[in-house]
Amino acid sequence: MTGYIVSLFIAYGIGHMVVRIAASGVPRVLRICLSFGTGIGLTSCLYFWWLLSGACKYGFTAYFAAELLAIPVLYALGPRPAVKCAGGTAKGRAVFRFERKRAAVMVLTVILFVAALISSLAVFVIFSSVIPNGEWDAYSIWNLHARFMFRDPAAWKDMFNSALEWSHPDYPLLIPGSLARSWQYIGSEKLFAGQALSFLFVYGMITAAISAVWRLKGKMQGLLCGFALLSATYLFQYGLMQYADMPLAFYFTASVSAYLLYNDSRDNPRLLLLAGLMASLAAWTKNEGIAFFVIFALLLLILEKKRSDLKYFVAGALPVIITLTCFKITCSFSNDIFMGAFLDPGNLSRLTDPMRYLVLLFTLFNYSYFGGYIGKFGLLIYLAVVGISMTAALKKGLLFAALIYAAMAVVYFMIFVMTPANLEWLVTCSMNRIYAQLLPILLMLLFLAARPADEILSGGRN
Amino acid sequence: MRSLAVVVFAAVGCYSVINLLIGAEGSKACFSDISAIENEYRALKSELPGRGTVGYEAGGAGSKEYFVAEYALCPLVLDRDGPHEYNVRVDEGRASVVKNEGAAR
Repeated sequence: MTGYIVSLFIAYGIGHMVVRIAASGVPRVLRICLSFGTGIGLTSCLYFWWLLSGACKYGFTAYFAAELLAIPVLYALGPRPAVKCAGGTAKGRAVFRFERKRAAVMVLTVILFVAALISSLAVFVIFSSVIPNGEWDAYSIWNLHARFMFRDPAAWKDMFNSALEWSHPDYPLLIPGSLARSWQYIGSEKLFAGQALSFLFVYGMITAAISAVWRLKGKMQGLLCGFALLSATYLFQYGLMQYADMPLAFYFTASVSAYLLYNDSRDNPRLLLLAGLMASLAAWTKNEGIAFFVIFALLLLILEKKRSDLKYFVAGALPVIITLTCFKITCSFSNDIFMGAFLDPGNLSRLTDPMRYLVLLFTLFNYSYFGGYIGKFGLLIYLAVVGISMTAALKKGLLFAALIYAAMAVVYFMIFVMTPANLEWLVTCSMNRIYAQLLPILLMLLFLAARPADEILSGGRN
Repeated sequence: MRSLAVVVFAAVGCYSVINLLIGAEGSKACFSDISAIENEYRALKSELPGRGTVGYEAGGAGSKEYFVAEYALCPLVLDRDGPHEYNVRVDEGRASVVKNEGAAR
């Protein structure tokens, strides 16, 4: 257990040192989430380089020393801490000045939120203990790759053996690398490392979404977004199954949050560095993340008028994208679903088959339930009752996020249309997971567009 | 009306999660643990080489069995196509190691 805690602390330390370069204007809670995500992502890259370069033959101690050394080096590269003025200003602090009614509702909401949070934590722990190895994808892909990277570092490339093509060896290595790294710290394979990693990503994703909405649309609005996320049971289901969809959802949420904060402040282009880093880590998590990264970069290029700021996005993304490119070139490039969808000679006939579109559109609706009692209708009713209210600056940020969501939906849809794989099988296996990956962005969009609960409860005076 | 919507939304969200917790015990059956199957394959480790490729003969076992076998015996690569010097064979649900001295692969 001590080894695991040390591994987390070091990952967090590295992440924190990177995030502080761009942290101005980022709420403290979101900063903590981003630091964890960054640390876990970057150390998994480092672990990959350790294996690929053959440095693993010198033992783990050298790797450990390199990670430890990275913290002061990154600290030296980062900005000098500003000298704090005594007293400071009240701006940015949580100052609760509510009328009686508003205060009462706020207290009630917080109590309900704490109850929901504790219940969800308990649910996660209970179910995680039932499946310590995770479910199907966990032991046939992610944890299996982690075992190859941990059990025999000198022969880790055996996982790309053609006999194991079913295990998707082309999938990026954030989860396997991170797991194998923590096992190295522990000194043995402990199942709780996988469970804890999933736990961190699920609750990190929820906290990041709450924190971004809290910052941009008020405290109560952030909590309401939290209720929607906590009640979406599919998010927990895929988390405790140790699938990579929740880490992916975390990086989707984190990159969109960083962009929204950049769009809101306009005076801290370094937030784009975080957005670039998070989007690139999404690409390092799962192949769908590569589509997300490309869409994110293209939309920035098209929509962002302040071109000089884009260099921050590139700088943030570059280290991870180089790692990913190197992995794809040297280890495994071919992807069955992607290659099938775009290079299969029969894809023209599938593309022009109206039945496939009809079946998919019907399935899209059929699979859009994401668990819990709120559901899509609950969200729509809530939105209809409270109405929409956005500032011009927020509108631009929301347009960007909505376009990302729409573009990702189109990419997924076209892969479903063009895939030579059995459509029914692919839909059954992946449609719910795709919804789960994108759900946090959708919920953030809805709550950022909705009239803020803080304003409603104060009778419009906010 | 809008204030009520906020409170109702929070309450439904909270109830949704608490209800999941209440029904957790009954829902456990939805998941199946692979530890027992994994342990069975792990027991074969001492009879197999430390790394490389060995054969896997399913004999009616499903793909889940094979995936768990690979998960348990990793970093060995279990090849379902053709015999190897060492082969993991599953007969009537029992896994064993069969050594094939004359295997070409």
